[in-house]
Amino acid sequence: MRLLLALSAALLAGTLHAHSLTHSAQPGSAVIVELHYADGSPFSYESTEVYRPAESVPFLVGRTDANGRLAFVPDRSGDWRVRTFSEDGHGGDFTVAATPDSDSSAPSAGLSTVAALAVGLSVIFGLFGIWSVFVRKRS
Amino acid sequence: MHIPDGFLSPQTYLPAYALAAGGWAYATRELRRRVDETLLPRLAVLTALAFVLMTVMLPLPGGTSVHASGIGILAVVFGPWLTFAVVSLVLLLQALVLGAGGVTVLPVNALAMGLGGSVAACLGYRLLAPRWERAGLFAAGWLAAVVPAALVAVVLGLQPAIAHTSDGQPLFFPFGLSVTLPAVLIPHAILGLGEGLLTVLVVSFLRRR
Repeated sequence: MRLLLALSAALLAGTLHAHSLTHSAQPGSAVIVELHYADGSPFSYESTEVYRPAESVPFLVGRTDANGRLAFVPDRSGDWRVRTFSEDGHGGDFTVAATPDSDSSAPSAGLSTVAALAVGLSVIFGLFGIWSVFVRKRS
Repeated sequence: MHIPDGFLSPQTYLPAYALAAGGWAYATRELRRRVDETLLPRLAVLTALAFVLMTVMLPLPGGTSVHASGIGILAVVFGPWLTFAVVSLVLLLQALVLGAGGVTVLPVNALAMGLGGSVAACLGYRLLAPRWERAGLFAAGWLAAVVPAALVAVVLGLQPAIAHTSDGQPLFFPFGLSVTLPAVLIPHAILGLGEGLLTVLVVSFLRRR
């Protein structure tokens, strides 16, 4: 009887132990990717997938947080692919160079919106301007 | 409205490139036939306006943001083929300079917005303008927002059926038509009201000049 009790106690302890959840926070070892629209509003609660370099099975599947951020902890070096998409067709598919346990950040979006607007408008007026010179010559 | 790179399968964008190439060839011929000293500055200014409208995002209540396109204005003033040509130029610039949209998805965006949107806008305008000029302009703007949105939603929603792994996992955009149609169409039906108003204001202003 005593043996039976001891056995069931051991089994119960085992089951209880199996249900416990442990966690640990390691500040600084994750790559944080911030996603926002061009006007600065965050890409919140949208689907994301993260892939190890040269792998096709996702390493991480989830959603961005309220501030449009997603985080992952790289376990190997290389270009990690990040895919993110909203149901209405917004999103992106890009790579982030990351190494385990080191600082890393998403590639910057390049030009700011104002600079990009200036470049785009210059190209448009430049193209039509040059074209009008040729049209004037012909006529 | 722009579909970003990586959302569409090659089975979608390669045939779209073939189709758009034909359209671009015809549009270029049309442009060369109609070009003169008075057309070019007007085309340049309205192309620049479309570029700015498509780049500047307006925040909407509820956390999302939208942008106008100016396609209704271009379609009413210049017709569908010139609109297709200049909208394709704007989309190419946005892909190269801003990283909005993309080079692989360019023909799909150009066909949906530049051709689909402008043909619908012209039809709406021609139907209503003989009796109600302003209603025709408003309809042109609204259709120029809603018809491309519907085309984009259909192309996105078909992706899971077009490209998937042997066990049915979508390789590109993961949501089907039942998700994309309401998610894209409802905001654009509302955005279209603003686009319609903008078309009435800008085209009326241009006609007074």
